[in-house]
Amino acid sequence: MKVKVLGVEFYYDSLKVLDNVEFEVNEGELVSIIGPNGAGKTTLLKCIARILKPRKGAVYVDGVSLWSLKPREAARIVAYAETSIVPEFQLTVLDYVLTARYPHTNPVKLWEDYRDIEIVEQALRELGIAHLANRKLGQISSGELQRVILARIIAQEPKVLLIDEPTAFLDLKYRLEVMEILRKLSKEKNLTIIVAIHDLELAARYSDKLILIHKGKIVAAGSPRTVLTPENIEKTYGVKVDVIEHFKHGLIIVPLEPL
Amino acid sequence: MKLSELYQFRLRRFFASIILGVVLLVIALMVSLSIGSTSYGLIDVLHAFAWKLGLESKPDNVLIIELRLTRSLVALLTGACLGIAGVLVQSITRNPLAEPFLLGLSSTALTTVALTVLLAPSILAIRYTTVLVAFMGAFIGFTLTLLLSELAGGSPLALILAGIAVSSIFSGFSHVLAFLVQSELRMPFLILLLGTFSSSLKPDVTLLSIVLGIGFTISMVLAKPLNALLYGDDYASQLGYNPRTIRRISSLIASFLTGATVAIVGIIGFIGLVVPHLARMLIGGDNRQVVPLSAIIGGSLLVLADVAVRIISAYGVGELPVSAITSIIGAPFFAYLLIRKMRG
Ligand SMILES: Nc1ncnc2c1ncn2[C@@H]1O[C@H](COP(=O)(O)OP(=O)(O)OP(=O)(O)O)[C@@H](O)[C@H]1O
Ligand SMILES: [Mg+2]
Repeated sequence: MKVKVLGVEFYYDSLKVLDNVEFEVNEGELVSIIGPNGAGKTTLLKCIARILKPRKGAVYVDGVSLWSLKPREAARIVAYAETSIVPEFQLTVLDYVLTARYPHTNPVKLWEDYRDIEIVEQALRELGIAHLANRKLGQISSGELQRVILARIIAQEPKVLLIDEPTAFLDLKYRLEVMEILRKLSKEKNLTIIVAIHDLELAARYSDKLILIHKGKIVAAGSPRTVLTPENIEKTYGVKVDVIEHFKHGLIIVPLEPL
Repeated sequence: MKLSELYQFRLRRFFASIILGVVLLVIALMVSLSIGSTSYGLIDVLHAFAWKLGLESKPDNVLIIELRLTRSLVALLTGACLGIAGVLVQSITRNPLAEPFLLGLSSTALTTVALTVLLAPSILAIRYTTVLVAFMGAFIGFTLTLLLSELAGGSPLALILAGIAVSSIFSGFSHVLAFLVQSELRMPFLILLLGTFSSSLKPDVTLLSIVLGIGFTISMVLAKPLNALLYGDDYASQLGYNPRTIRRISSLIASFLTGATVAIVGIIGFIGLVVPHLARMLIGGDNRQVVPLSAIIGGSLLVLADVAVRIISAYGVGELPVSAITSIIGAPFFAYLLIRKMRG
């Protein structure tokens, strides 16, 4: 589904965090939002996910404003994956991932169907964590927890996936693997995927489009090569860099010195 | 293991725990019916049941056994109400240390009841309205605690300390008020404050059953939203639930359940803390399973606590308040949870 963000403005109390943010993501695209700490990436994802309501502007999915839908309907269309969860009460991986099926089951129906279990199992397998299903959330590594969170958003079967820092705690291999999975989902299942990510090289290599934001405003948007210029990075991150083209895959960004 | 097998296993474990809980409950009830100041024992109880089933002629001790039954049923229903209230309070605050009594629901409920006795005693002529008054009191108490905790930064510890502040203030008030109204209620001051089943009547059973029925049904409908809320407000709202609405309904139900027990029995602490944890130890943290199992465990535990009360009371004058027993069991458990939580 096509996501259209139109003139979004968001405030935490009186602090303006998003200022006239406007962009489009087409069906089947994987788009990365990049920008320094505190730029407003998480806030933007939450505004699209209808967790936060923008003061101005709107988010349309295939021409329909998400705020005009019933919350349960919206939860079947967009899903948001947080960076981490605080596990309490001995909850297990299965407990958590099962909640992804709630928007798809009748609210008064107490237990999941066989089909729901199959979808959850499929999602866990896809991320290589089926063996963790019965483990407590507090007793797995941060990287494993991150894959659990991704399995949950996949099990929710949304059309638009909004993922906050999907690779933050992952090792070299899983970083690539997770990005491969996301790209595959976007291309094969025609899903729209928007991630907020700090790893610029990964973002450049796997995204169809990058959106660079700084202090709540879009500074640059477009193909990785046009966005990740030394000037743009210097302006937003305050770091002098060299951007080198790898002979085969994407870009290499060499930080030189902070300004 | 395939996931569907794990899921099936969890469901089977749940049903097995429920059956085990019911067996424990029946045993607790039998023990409870067989103990008292008169010497009628288990055999007499079985005779009475045989008579009820139409198998035997009426034994002459039926009246005493019926009295004991009323008392035990009130204990059972109270425990179930408090167990469920504990699950609700812990889930919406995401705090394993939370509990209706510790968060000030009980003492505010008692304060409003005592205040009504003093100001408008006619309202309390009907037991239903007493329950409503206590319900309002409990809700005010919970709201105050949540507000105070918010002001103090909203950390898990701030919530517990806010609860202690609110319950201390209102137990002060309720002590004064209960002292003043003890002649009016013809009940000793201490018993009013600490809870007893010795004055239980048949209508109490009906009333508590209705309260439990309503509370349990709504809690089961809330179980899924509450599961979602355990992972955070944002998480619940991205699944299509409104966290504020879930919190509001859950606090109303927790206040209703706690208020009713305070109005009918008095203040009983720590059941709402211990019971949900016992349930989670057996079957894990899914509220769809924790709510019903907590009702059963809560019921059994209070019936047994009441047995202890009656055994100990036989060696003294008058009646030991049941809260004495639940505190002895519950407070060390609270200390254990506190250490575990604070050490991470
Ligand atoms: N709940 C909140 N209340 C008030 N201010 C907030 C809140 N959450 C974030 N902010 C502020 O809003 C701004 C944007 O925060 P946001 O979390 O969207 O940034 P981000 O780009 O995701 O940063 P990071 O890369 O560190 O995750 C920051 O200045 C932050 O301090
Ligand atoms: Mg962020």
